[in-house]
Amino acid sequence: MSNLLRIWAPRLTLLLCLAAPHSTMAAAPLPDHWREAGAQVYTVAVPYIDVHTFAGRGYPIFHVVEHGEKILVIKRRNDWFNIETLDGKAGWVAREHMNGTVDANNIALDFSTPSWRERAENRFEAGLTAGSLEGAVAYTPYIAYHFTPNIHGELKYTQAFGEFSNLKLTTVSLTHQPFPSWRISPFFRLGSGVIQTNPSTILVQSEDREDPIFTVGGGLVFSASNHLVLRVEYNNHIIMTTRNVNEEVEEWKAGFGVLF
Amino acid sequence: MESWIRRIVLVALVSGVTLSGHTLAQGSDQGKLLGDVVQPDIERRKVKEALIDSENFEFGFYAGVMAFEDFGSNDVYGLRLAFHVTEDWFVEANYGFSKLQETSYEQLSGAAPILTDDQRDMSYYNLNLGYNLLPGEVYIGNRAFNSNFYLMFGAGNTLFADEDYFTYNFGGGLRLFLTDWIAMHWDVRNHLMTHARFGKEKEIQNLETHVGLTLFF
Repeated sequence: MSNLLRIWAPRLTLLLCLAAPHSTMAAAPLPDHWREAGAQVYTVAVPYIDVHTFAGRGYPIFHVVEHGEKILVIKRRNDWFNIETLDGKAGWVAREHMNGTVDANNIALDFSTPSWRERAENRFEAGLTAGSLEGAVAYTPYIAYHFTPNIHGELKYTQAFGEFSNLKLTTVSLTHQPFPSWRISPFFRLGSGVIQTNPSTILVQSEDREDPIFTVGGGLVFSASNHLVLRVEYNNHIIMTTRNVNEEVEEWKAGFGVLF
Repeated sequence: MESWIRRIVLVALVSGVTLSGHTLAQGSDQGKLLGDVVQPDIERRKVKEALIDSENFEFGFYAGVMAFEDFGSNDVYGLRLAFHVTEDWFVEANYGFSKLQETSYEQLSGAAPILTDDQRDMSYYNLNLGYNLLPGEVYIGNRAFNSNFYLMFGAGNTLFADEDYFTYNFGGGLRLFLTDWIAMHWDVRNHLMTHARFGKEKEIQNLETHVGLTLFF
């Protein structure tokens, strides 16, 4: 009898161990926050996916989620997804590994990198262009909002650092992009604003001036990704001076914009 | 007698193996065939990433010391906003301000001050491009913190003595993640500008170091 026990006891425990995870997983209900409306719960459909300690390819892999196990996606940073497993492990999974998951209906998911064409989903743009304004170094931080793929409104603040004076331009403009589906796409701009001229106090003693301006411009925009555009542009500003003649100022710029 | 039994057993075994082998082969063929027929070619469902909360922005403040050439080393305070475009690249906007001291000349000569009190309010802003050069972990005691050593460069404006000056800046820093959305920073920057406040044009370098706290959202 004791002999029989010695032989069968380990086998029985092994059997129990093998059976246990399946039975508990099938029986245990999902935690509450996994069942909330909009909770992104996916099932791993490839042999395994790697879980890193943090959002970056260099951070170590400390866990793998196996085939058939469920994960909850909590948040995202760039191309990394913060996930949680049923046994409470939390970590970061790379975008390409997320492709190995299926949804509740067993349909494979597509987590592929959004192409530049999907930039229309990111309606805000903030960026910086630098170049020359009548020969002086000038740079322009700007923000823009894309009302439609064709039309967006811009708020720009330009500072130019001349030898004898500094210029500050604040303009509101409307930009039209006739062919938004082209990767390198032309645009045209109409705008209006104010220009402030501050003569250098060290060299010249003269008053600061503020005049309205009108802007006509255009350029090319290159969509590097759905989050990044590169711009080259030309603007012609007409300064409505209080004198008899209006002045014209030319501006050449290159820069980048981040879409979000 | 024994060899006869052995022969029967052998024959049974061999025939059993070949038979089962045959059926196995047939089974897998069938599986493949069925697989070709049954496996539906369903398109992958594009995930709506907008539904997943993204944390690509970083906002925070900092405090430190900025040495403004000729005008002493002064406290500097600032705000920082960053957007992480990829895991490697980010863009960043900073605004900082400081109060300048008297120059050594003003202190020693006893002459009239070069700048008025208002003119000693210095502020700057800049827009930078940053690169996360050394992502990794640092260990403090028996705890591990995720970290990033980054480099950055950019340009902006310095408002000094009521005048605006075009200013380049470059530097590096360490971002230490306390949690995955709270980070501590330690930065070193160099601001390069040219001014003619003392008559002749002078290229100056203003070194700044600060510590800060940022939140990802």
